[in-house]
Amino acid sequence: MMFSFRRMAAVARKELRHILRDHRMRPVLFIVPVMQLIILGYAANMDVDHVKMMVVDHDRSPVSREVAQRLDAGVAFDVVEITEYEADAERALDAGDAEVAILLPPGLARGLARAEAVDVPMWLDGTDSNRGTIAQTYAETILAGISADHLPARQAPIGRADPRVRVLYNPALRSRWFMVPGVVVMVLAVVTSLLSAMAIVKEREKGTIEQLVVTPIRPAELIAGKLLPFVGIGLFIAALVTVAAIIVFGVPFRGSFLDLVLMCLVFLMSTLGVGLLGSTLAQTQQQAMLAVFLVLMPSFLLGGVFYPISNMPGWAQTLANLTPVRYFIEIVRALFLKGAGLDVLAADAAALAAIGLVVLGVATFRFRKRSA
Amino acid sequence: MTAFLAIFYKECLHIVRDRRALAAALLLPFVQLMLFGFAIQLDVRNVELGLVDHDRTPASRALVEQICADGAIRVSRRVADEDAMETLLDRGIVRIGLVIPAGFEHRRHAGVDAPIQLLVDGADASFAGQALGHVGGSLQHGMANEIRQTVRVAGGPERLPGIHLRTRVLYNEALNGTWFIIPGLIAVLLVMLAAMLTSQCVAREYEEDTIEQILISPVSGPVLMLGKLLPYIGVGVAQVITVTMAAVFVFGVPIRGSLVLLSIATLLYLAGAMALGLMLSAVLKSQQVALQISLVATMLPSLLLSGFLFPIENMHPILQALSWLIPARYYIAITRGMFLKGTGLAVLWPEFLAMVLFCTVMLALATSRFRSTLS
Repeated sequence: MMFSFRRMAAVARKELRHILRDHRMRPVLFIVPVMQLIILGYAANMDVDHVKMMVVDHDRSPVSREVAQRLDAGVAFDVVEITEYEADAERALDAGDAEVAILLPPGLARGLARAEAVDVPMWLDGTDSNRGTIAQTYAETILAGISADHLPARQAPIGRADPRVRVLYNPALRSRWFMVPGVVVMVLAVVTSLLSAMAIVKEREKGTIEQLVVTPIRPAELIAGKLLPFVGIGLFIAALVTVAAIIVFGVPFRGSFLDLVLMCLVFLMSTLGVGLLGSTLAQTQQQAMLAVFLVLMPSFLLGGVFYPISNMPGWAQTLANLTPVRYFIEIVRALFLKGAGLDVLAADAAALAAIGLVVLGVATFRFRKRSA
Repeated sequence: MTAFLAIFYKECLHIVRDRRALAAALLLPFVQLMLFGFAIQLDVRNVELGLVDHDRTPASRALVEQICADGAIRVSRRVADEDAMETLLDRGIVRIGLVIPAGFEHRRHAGVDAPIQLLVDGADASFAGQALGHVGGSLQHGMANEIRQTVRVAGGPERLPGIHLRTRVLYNEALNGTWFIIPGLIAVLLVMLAAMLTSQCVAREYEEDTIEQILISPVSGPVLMLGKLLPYIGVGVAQVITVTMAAVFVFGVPIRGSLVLLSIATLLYLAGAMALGLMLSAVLKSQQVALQISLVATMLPSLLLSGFLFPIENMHPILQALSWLIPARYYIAITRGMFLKGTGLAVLWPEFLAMVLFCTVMLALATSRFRSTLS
């Protein structure tokens, strides 16, 4: 029996009707992804700014007032309170009302005027280690500027290396530009893998799988027919969230849309494959869902959506290299921000296609064995 | 009471019979905590730097040494000019590059600041921010040391004039990123599994048509809901114990607050998440849709809106308001407070109150939806 497109199309038509007829599934498919993109795009802000600061002013001089005012002036810190008591600062840090407290010692103004070294203690809430480290650098830079303005001018003994930073592709280092393409990837992965995870196991739970097995249709036709509507839905969702990313968040799209469609197709192979594999392994929809969840969480957390992969220990990097998300996220970011062409994307795309083919192949094989 | 026990017993049987799901539910949070706890590192390491050195002097080599001093950054490619460097960046071979112009040493020895250029790939903004911060920090310390030494050699004072910031880090003294991630990770892992587990249990009755038998039996709505909820809370408690042990003994996260209070908070959190699943199950009446929605409703919002990954204070006011609806927000505030800060009810009472409210509302909704189908 040859592979028949007619039989495959029949299955595809049935499956599409199943999905679109379910009035509870329609919002899940079309409204939820866009809402998620918008909500999460606005939430995904890792910029360290507006760090809440308490100033404990023991000096009460024009200089100490200037220090407080200059710390508050930029976007880095918001001075929430100026007080004379250290206990206030401790309480604010404990309650989370302040993240740093700076203690301006008596004699600050006098010391600077005499060109002496003045120690200024700072208490830092280290809970969020990254935010804390960066806030400390901000404070050091601002205070160095204030020292320089108040110390008598002198010839430096040796010149400094003066770094001029040029950020390519995302000049303002907006974390939104970085996160929104990531959210596009996540939404697409979640929806399509969950849909295909239900595909086979639903028939099994309802007992209709036997009817399918005895119909004159080859397993490959059945699977292709089942997955085809999901490919369509996946592409539609991808288009929807990409347009939303561009219009709502103003993320530039510098690559070609055709390349994006192509890459989405390659990516869908692996997400649909993972779902299908879960579906053939599971006895119940709940198990299928758990299996997909088991794959999705590590994909997002290790795949470079939030955290740089290069920081991870070697074994975790190897694991990350096995997740399709890791390659697709590189591709999507390169398409949005770098305007990369197919020549640059080829390596990532090949890895993605290899993973997709293996997973789809295993899933089809498992299904064939079960139905035989 | 007998009705409650009967439902409780029946639901326990359901849980115990599905061995695979039970094993997965018990092991998953622990395995994932170990995986992510070790894998996710917030401190910069293994950064590969591209280098263009037009100066080729002892000073330019010393500069590169300063940047690479702590081993987090190493020079992986040396190229001839800026164009070659941009190609490396375009192709993603390196993501940060340093260009040292000619005359670098000459300028510095003349007492003039010498510009150097850092090029960084901003497409991965989290990496770019961290790497830039790290290079900047290394440079600052290296320069300060150099100047101090030059001054000392010239017979100047031991300490340079000006403000010296003396930072004392509280709560997470070593600025250990793992200590920050683990409490949040526990909250996220628990809520997803909890809601998924219970999202099945009322919808299943509808799909298998056993709902009518329950409807005609003399069981009231609240009794049914509690009877269905409590066995799952048992599973949740087992998850919490393994996960907390791992946090404390494997990752060395301290518990500085009261263990009793932490347990109460955890029970409230589990009950809330499970009541959410139950509510979705009773409203949607389909296992598939209930699962989809409970996963969608817990996974991404708990990751992104709870303060786990992104500070809530940074968000748009509307989203901050929305985050009040997410129980993980309260639980993360409580676990970070309890684990690291050792704070108690005096500070955390609003979070406790919010979790009690969430749990009550969800249970009430689940029960009322169930009652309305009685008529």
